[in-house]
Amino acid sequence: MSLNDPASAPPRPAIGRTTVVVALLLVAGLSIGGTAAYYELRPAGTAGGGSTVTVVDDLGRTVTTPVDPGRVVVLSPSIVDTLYRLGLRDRIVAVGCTASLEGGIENEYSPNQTAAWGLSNASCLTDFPNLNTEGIANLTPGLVLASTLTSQVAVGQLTDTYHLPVVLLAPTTLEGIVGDVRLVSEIFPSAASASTALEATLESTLATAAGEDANLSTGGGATPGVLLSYYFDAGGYYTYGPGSFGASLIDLAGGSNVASGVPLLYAEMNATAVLDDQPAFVLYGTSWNDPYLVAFETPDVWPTAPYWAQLTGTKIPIDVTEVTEPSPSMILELPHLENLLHPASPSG
Amino acid sequence: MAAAGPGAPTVPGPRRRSAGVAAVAGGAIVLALVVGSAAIGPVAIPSGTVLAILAHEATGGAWPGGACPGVGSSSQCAIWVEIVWDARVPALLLALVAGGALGLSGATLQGVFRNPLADPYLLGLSSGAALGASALYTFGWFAASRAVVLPAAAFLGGLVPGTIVVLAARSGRRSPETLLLTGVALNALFASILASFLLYNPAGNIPLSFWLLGGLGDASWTHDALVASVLLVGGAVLVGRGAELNLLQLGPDVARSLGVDARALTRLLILAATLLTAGAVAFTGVVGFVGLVAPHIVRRTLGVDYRRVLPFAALTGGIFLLVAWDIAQVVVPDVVIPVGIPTAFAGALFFLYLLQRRDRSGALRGDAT
Amino acid sequence: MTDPIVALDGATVRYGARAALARVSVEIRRGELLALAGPNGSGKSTLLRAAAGLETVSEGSIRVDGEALAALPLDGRARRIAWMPQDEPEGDDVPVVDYVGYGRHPYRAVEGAANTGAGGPVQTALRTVEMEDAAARSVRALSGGERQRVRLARVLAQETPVLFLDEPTAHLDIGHQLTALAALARLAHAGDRAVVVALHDLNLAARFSDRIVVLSRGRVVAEGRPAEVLSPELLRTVWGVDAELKRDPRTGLPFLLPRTPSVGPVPPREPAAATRPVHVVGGGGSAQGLLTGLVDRGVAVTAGVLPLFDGDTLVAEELHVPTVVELPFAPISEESRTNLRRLLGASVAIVVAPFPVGPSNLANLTELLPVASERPVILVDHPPGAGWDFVDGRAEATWRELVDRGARVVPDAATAVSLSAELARGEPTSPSAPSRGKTLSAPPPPNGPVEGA
Repeated sequence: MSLNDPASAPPRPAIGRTTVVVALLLVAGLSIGGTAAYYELRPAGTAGGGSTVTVVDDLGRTVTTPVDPGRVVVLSPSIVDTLYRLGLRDRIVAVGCTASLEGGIENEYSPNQTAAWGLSNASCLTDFPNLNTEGIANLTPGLVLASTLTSQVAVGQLTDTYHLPVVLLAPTTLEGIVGDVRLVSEIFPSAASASTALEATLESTLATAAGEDANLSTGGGATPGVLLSYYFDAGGYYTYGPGSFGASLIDLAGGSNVASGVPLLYAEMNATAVLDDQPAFVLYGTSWNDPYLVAFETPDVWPTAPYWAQLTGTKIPIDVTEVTEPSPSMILELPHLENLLHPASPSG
Repeated sequence: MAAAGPGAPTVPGPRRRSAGVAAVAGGAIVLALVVGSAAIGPVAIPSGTVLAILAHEATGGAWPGGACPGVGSSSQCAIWVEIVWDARVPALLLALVAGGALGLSGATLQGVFRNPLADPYLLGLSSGAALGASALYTFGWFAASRAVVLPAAAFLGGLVPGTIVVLAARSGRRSPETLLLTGVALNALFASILASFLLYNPAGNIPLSFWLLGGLGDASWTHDALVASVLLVGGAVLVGRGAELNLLQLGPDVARSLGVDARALTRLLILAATLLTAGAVAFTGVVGFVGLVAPHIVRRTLGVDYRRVLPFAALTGGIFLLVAWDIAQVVVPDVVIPVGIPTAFAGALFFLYLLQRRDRSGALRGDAT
Repeated sequence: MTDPIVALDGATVRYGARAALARVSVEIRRGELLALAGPNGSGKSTLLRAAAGLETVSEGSIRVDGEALAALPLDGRARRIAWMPQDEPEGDDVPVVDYVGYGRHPYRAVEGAANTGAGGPVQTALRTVEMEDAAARSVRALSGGERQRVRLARVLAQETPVLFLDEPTAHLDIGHQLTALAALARLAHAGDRAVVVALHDLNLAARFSDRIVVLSRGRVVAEGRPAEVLSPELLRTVWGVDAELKRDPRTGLPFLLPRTPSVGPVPPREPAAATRPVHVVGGGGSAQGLLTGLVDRGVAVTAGVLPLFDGDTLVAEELHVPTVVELPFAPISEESRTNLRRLLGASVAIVVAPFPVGPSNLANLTELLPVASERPVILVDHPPGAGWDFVDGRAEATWRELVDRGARVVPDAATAVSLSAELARGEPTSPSAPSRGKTLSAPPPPNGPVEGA
C-alpha cells in the first residue's frame, strides 16, 4: 500500500454527514410528532349526551361536568361525608382507599364512618402509591370528586387520558367547608334543598360558636389551654399550628391552643414545652385498630406518650377523623368540643 | 473464540455476525413486550380484546372485525379502547423511549469516564433533573407550558450535578469510588431538597414517590413524542461517535494522537448524556440503574465496540424499563408500585454483583468474558 | 539530506515552574532512526509528547513540513505523526485486530471501517510484530510483551511518515527487542520515514540508530552519530555511571560496559595474549592503581613479593594477577626470592610502586638491582615529605642505585602505567637481551590520548 501523503486531505464524501443526520432527524421528528398529534387529537370517545354545568373548584380550575351525574367516584372521606349528608350516597360507585395486601376500606374509613355511610360493601380503588385511574375509568363515572391529596399526575390522567371531569375540593378554613357544600349543590341541583338546610345548620353552628367565644373573652372567662394531638413520638406531640383546622376548632370551642406559637400548620411540639404549658385539656385523637394509618394512635398506646403521667390536664380521647378530615362532620363536632372544654356553659 | 489463522481476512466474529441477529431479536422482543404489556393492568381485559384493540387503533380503524369482537356493550368497548390505547400504550411507549434514553446515557457515561460503574442515577444526574422539574411544580412557574419548559427545567437541573461530576472526574482522581461518592452525596442532597419542597408547598401536589421513585402514569402521546425526540436528538449527537468513544478508552493522549479531540468529545458526550437523562426523568421521575444495567448486558453479549454498544444499550434500556413497568403493575394486585422500585431492586443486585467481581486493584475483572 | 520533516526550534515545555524541556532544538529527518537517550526525567517523553502535539510549548516552535504543528488540525496531525506512549490504561476486552484497527481512524473518511483484510495495513502491521496469530484474542488476555507488540502494530498501521515511540522495547524479551528495532530501522531506511525512539538501552540505541540525541535535565547535551556521541565521559557526566567503551569488531559500533563498584564479577578483560608480563612491585596498598591500570589495558601482569592480606594482594587476587606472596611481617623467604627472580626474568618491564620499605620487604628492591640493567625499571616517585624508608636509609640508597643503573623515575602511577604498557606492546615476541639504550633511549611516547581498547 502506498504511503499516505499527508499533504492531500482525504476526499470529502459527496453529501456531508451533518446533512444526512439533520435530514433523518427531520423525517423522524415529523413522523413522531405527526403520529402523536394524530392520536392525541382524536375526538374524545364518550362525550355523553345531556346537559352540563360549569363550576370553578377550590383550586381555581374551571370544570364542565354533567348535571346531577348518577355515577360518582369520591376519593376523600370528607367528600363522602358531604354527599351522604346531601342524600347523594347512592350516587357513589367507588371510593378511594389506601389499598394494601390486606384490605381496603378499613384502611381509610373508621368503623363509625363505614357504618354510618354504609361502605362495608363499597367498591374501593387504591390511591396510594399511584391512583388506580384505569379502575376509575372502567366504572364509567360521570364525575370524580377529589381533594388535594390526589396527585396532579393522577388528576391529569383522569382529565387528559380518560376525559373525566374532576372537581377538586380543598377547603382551607371551616367556612370553606360550607362553600364546598354549596359547590356540590351546584353540580347536583336535585340536592338543592338538602344543601340549603345543611348550609344553614353549619353556618349557625359556626356563628353560635363564634358568639360564645366572643362572650368568653369579653366576659373575662377562662379560655383553658388545650393540646389537640393526633400522634406522638419520643420527641413530642404532633399538633396543629395557627391556620389549621384543628387550631380553628380549638379557638371556636373556646380554648387556647398551646401550639399557637408553632409556625407550621402541622408540626410536632416539643414534649418539654407541652409539659411547661400544662394545658388544662389534653384532647388526644384515637384511631381504630388499623396498622396502616401509622400517624394515628390507638387508645392503649397514648399512656406511653412522653410525660403523659406528668400532664395534669384532663385527658379526653376524641375521634381523630373529626379533627383531621375537613368535612361537615368537623363543624358539627364543635358543640361537643365546647362541652368538653366548658362543661357547665350554656350551649346554643 | 477461535484464533484466526495467519492471513485470515477478518476476525471470524460470532460477535460481528450477531449484531444483525441481535437487532432482529431485540425488535421481536420489543414487539412481544408491547403487545403483552398492553394486556397488563389493574383492569382485567381479555387478551383477545387487547390484540383486537391494538390492531384496530394502530391501523386507524381499518382492522376488520372491529375493536372489541365478542364484547356486547359498546360503551364497555369504548372504555377499554381508552384504557388500552390512550393509557397503557402511551405508558409502555414511554417506558421504551425513556428507558432507551437512560440506557444510551449510561453507555455514554461509561465510555466517557472509562468506568463500568458510571450511571446517570448513581452520578446524581437523575436527581438533579428531578429537582429541576419539581421546582417548576412547587413554585408554579410557567405551569402552563409543560411541553417545553419542563424538560428544559429538568435539563438545567441535571446540569448541576453533571458539572460537579465532570469537575470531580477531571481533577485527576478518576477512581470509581470518588465519582460514586460524589453521586451518592448529590443524590442525598437533592432528595432532601425535594422533600423540603413538599414541606414548603404541600398543596403543590407533587407526591414524593413519583419524583423519587419514578412512575409512568404521566404518559401521553405528547409526552412520548417529547421523550422520543429527546432520544432522537441525543442519538443524532452520538451517531458516529462510537468509533471515537472506542479510541477514548485508550486514554486522552493516544486518542488525540489518532485525531480525536478528547476534551471536546468529553464535553459533548456529557452534555448529550445530561440531555437524555433530563428528558427521560422529566416525565418518569427518578428511575435508577437502567443506565447501569443495559450497557453491561450489551457488552457481555455483543462485545465492547461502542459503535454497537451505544445503539443496543438504548434498545436494552427500553426493554429493561418496560419489563420493570410490567412488574410494577402485577407484583401487588390492583396496585401499581413506583417503577423505580423494580429497577432499583434488579439494578442494586446487579451493582453488588459487579462490585464483588472487581479485583483488589479496583479494576473490573474480565468485563465481557 | 532532505529538509527535516519535524523541527523543534528552541522549544520549551513547562510543567508549572519547572521546565521539562528547555530550549531544545532537534531536527527529525526522513530516512533515519533517531534515538533519544537520557536518564529518567531528562525530558525524552516530554520531547516526544511535544513533537506529537500533546504538550504546548511556552517558547520556541515545532514545525511539521514547515508548518506550525499547533496550526495543523488534529486529523492532519494524525496522518503525519504516530505516537506511542510508554504505558496505556488497561482498556477493554477488545480483539487484537480491532485494536490495531484503531490506528486506521485518521483514514476513516476515505476507508470507512478499518481495513482489516489480508494484505491490508492492519494485517501487515500484525505480521511485522509477529502477532498475526493472535488477531482474534482480546488485548486484555495478552502478556505485557504481547501487548507492547500489539501497541506497536497499531502505530505501524497508522502508516505515518513520522513515528514517535516512547520505550517501544519495554517489556519485550531480547529477541523481540531486536526484531522490533530492526523493523523500525528498516521502516526508516527502506520506507523513508522518520522514526524517533526513546530508549534506555544505549547499546540498542548505538546498534540501530543513525543518530542519537542525548538529553539531560531538559536540555540537549549531545547529538550525532552513536560512534561519535557515546563515550565513557558522556555516560559519567549524564548518567553518573562509570563505563568502559568497547567496539564491536563485526560492526565497528561502540558498546558500553558499565562498571559496577567492584562488587560482583570482574568484567571480562581482553586476553593479554601477545604481551609479556609487566612485573609490579608494591605493598601497603601502593600498587592498586598500577595493577588496575595495567590490567585494564590488557597487559599481562605479575606481582610480588606481597604480604598476605595486604591491600595490593587482594587487588591482585581479584584481577587474577600471579603474585608471589609472603607471610606478613616475615622476611622474604628463599623460596619467595626464587619465584620473584623467575617472574622478574620473565617480565618485559618492572614497575615499582611507592611502597613503604621495611626490613621484611627490602629484598623487593634489592632483588631488582641485578635486573635493572637488563630490563626497564620504572620507579614511581614517592609523594614528597612522606617517610617511606624504615631501614635506616638503605631503601633510599637502593633506590638511587637503581636509578644509576638505568631505572627511570616517573611522577605518578598513571604515567608508569602508560609507559609500561607501551613497553609491553612494543615487545610482543620473545625477548632479546634489552640494552639500556634500546629500551630507554627510544623516546617515550608523549602523554597523548591513551590507546583505547
